[in-house]
Amino acid sequence: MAANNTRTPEGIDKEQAFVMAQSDMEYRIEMFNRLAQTCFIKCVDKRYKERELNMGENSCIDRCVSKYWQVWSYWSDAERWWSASSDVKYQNHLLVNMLYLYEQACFCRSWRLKLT
Amino acid sequence: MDKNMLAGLEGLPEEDKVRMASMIDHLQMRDSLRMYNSLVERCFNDCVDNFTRKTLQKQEETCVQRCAEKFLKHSIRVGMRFAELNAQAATQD
Repeated sequence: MAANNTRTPEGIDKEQAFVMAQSDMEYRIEMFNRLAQTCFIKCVDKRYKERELNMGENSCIDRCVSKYWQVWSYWSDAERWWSASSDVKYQNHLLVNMLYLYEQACFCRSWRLKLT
Repeated sequence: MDKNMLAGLEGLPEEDKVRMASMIDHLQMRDSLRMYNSLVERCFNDCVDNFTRKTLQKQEETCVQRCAEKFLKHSIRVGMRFAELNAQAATQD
């Protein structure tokens, strides 16, 4: 996918592209924060006996991040989410729309490539 | 997660670059504040249980210090793995 950022795809003007880029970044930041909190709860001993993370905690963190990522990737497939949530009144929910647009807009995809 | 973002802005017109950079700055600052708040809450919840005194006891103070260090190191490690997975996902597109 060519990442030509001086041109936006048809149907999306520059303002919309900025809004989508911001939503995309906020979504990723939120995901990162939840991931960090969840894996901390699951992997780190609450008694805080020492200042460093031990080897077991380190491995646990790596695996936790990997699994969380897999779960996230599974549900970030817009088609899958769309069909799974069709019974629920989420169809107009911002997140579903955003994921759907995210998949459709090549500008956003090239932003994603640029941002990672 | 943050330093790479600025590198990705090359090739954009100047005004877009400035706008994206300030958006990134703003998001980063907000995220730092959030992380600080959640760290304080977590360490307080995990370490402080005794309210017979007004000031922190030595043991509670040590616990809080270790908790903060562990959480920050944990965040850094998670960030590294997150960046690796992101890079993998990007190349698979």
